[in-house]
Amino acid sequence: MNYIIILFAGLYVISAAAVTIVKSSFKSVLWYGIVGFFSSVLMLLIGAPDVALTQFTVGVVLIFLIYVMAIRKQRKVRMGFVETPYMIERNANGFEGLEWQIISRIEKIEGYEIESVQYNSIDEAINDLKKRKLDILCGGITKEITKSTKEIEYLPYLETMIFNHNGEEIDYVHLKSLSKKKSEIEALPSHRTNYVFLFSEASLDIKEVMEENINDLKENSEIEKMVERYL
Amino acid sequence: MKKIVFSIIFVYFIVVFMVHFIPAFGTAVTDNNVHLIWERTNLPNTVTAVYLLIRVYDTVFEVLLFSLIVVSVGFLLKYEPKSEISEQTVFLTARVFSGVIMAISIVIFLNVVLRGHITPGGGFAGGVILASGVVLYGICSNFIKALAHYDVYKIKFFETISFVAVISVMTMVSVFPDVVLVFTSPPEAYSVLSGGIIPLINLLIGFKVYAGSWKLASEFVVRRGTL
Repeated sequence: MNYIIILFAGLYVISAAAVTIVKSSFKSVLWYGIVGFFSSVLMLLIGAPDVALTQFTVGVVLIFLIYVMAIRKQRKVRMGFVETPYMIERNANGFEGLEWQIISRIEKIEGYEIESVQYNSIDEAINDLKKRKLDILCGGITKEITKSTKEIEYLPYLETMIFNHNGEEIDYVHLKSLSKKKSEIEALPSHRTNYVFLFSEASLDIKEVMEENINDLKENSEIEKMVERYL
Repeated sequence: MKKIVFSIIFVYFIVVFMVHFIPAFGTAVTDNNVHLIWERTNLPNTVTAVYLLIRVYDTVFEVLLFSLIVVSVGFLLKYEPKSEISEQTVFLTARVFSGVIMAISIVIFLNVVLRGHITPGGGFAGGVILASGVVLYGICSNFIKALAHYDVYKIKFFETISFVAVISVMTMVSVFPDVVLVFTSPPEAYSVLSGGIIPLINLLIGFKVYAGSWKLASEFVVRRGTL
């Protein structure tokens, strides 16, 4: 019996340490729930089932629910972007473009507040994403970039085509904006890929929310209407 | 680092001071005094004896502290702007299950509160279980409906009544133990009545804790909004 108590006491201490160590606040709350569970088991083992019952209800259910509500309502999403025509660009009212339409949905539906940071180059933005200064990064980024970059998460949302233009690989959106500047462009289709949103490793909760939203958009065929409108 | 070391030393001295210098109060539980109150009250339940003879002050302070917390949270949030609560979009499954869970939590509340002296439980555990059930229903089903029940069933009024009743009964137990505690004919062992006035006190405390916990959670949701 003593060994079981020591085991659960150890798990209790480890999970309590995990609450402070994990980077995302959502994960921290999850670990807090686990702390509550281990502490209630511990109470049960040492002969206080009534305290275990109260601890389980308060620590695992009530506080967990309230914290989750607080985080989801108070969450600030730090969005980095590289201004890209048709995808995300500034206008008089704020932003417009396909990617902004998708991201801004979480502001309306989830109640998140979006803070934007503009970058001139993708590399600079990815560095900040790795340092967890940003939650999400957008700006016509294709899946190719994730092959050479670690420590970041990505979420594909739309299929696209890569073209060969003057020996360089270029995606559809950048090619389209180039065609506005030049009258004649020679480009050959190379291969298929996806446009992606990039996330820092500490913002997996945002990724999950975005994934849900994108699935909703796909189910309702709203994403097709957005693509027709912007691309 | 300095702050951490200083904090550890400070906490160590506080603990040492509390253990060695603060005199113990209350009465120690011995076979003798448990047996005494058992005989005096005519109740076949040792929990009642220990609770009423030795732990009454403990529960009184718990109830007082909890009431103070509810009042403080209400005061702190009074000037925070309220957010608009609209009917949330939830899955039918969540709606049905949260209703079922709330019904189950009411049954567990009654069981835990009324049989707290025979099986694990008590007023605090029961109150928190009921409040969790109602909060879960509010979040997963209809928060407007959950919020309305506080006014419709005059929970605030009954909470105040419970609080006054708990304090009064506890005071009576301490001041007139012979009038309040003595039962002329001993109730059956392991029955609800074997706890004497404990089931009543637990019911009142449970209601008070439920009303307070719900008030705390709802004040928070009213200002932050539902999920």
